[in-house]
Amino acid sequence: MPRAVVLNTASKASTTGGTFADTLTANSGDSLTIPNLQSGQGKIVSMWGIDSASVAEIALTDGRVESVHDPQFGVRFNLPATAGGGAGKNYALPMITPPNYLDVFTGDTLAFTCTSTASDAILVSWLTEYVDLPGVQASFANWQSVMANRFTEIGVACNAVASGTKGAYGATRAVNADDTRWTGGRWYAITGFTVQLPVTTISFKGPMWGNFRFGLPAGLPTVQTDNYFLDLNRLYPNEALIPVFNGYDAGSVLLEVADAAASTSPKIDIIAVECKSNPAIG
Amino acid sequence: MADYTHTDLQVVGRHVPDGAGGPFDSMDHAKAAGHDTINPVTGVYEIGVIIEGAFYPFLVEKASLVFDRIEAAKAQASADAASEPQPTAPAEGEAAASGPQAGGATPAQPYEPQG
Repeated sequence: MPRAVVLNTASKASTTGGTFADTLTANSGDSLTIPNLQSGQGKIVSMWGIDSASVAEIALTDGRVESVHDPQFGVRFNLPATAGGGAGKNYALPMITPPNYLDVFTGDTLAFTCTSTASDAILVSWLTEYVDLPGVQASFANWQSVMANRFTEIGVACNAVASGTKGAYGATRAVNADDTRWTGGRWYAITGFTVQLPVTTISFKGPMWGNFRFGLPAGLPTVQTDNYFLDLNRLYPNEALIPVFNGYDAGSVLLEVADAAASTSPKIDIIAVECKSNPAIG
Repeated sequence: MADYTHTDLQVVGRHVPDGAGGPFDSMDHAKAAGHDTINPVTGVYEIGVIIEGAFYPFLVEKASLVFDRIEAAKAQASADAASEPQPTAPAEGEAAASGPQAGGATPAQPYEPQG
């Protein structure tokens, strides 16, 4: 039962503007298509997005009424104006928040159509949980297994930066590029991170997660990211949603930042519990 | 009358680039700092007031957003200038008095906003 939690992002750097006149395209390395699943089903457990300058509305559709009701507008989401870090602030506004979720099915292709103002940048990211994704054995733990193996706590800096192209992922940066204190042979359960400057999406990627991305929003109103994966686990108590890697592999754990503003440098401090034994489950 | 201690405060803005630097002199240096462009607009733009010499920011925005809007405003101003009504063609009598005119020229149309 290979299990995975995968982050995908779709964006458009400069919209045409108008009523549902623009369609987002998947970022480099990401996909709008639901992969072939053994169980045939997965679920989007979290989704967030932003418009760079104005209010916007996004319609999420795919081919199944069991997923998004209808193919006309499906599930519509508003991205509100500037108050509290909304549109124009380039933060990360909730669209689907746990414990709510959206079912997705093998072979479906998600479509994001947007109502926006011309020349805006729009960016949407989402986490999909696949109970049984062939070829992947992602390394995730739950809080109980982390606590049972806990040795100490560590916060490690990684200065990944958003792309000069709005909405795109910036250059990859290894988690040991700016701070090398990860210890080989110890296991690290990432509970979340903190940032100096809010951004829409931060992605983690590595072979221990099947080389798929996972990640989280890092902008208002979800800027309290120090316990994001732990909180996600609390909302899905029967799931293992805390990512784990071995310190020997720090060089292949890559961070990327996507933001609706260009070249944002959030200054990421990753918060992790160091474990003597592997807390991953499954 | 309100008991103001300061009046006529000056509103000012300043760009505070990221400490990692930029623009860079090569892509290698840009990449080392995590950027995928050689000339990124980094850091934040602070808008605030000066109170007895002290800067007090009341708005901090990502710098690239502010400069994006400045560029958009410049582009809009250029577009507006280009679409302004041209001087009307001289009257026939004046045209005749000023000499021969290139054939086939159509008089400029006044600008009419769309929508």
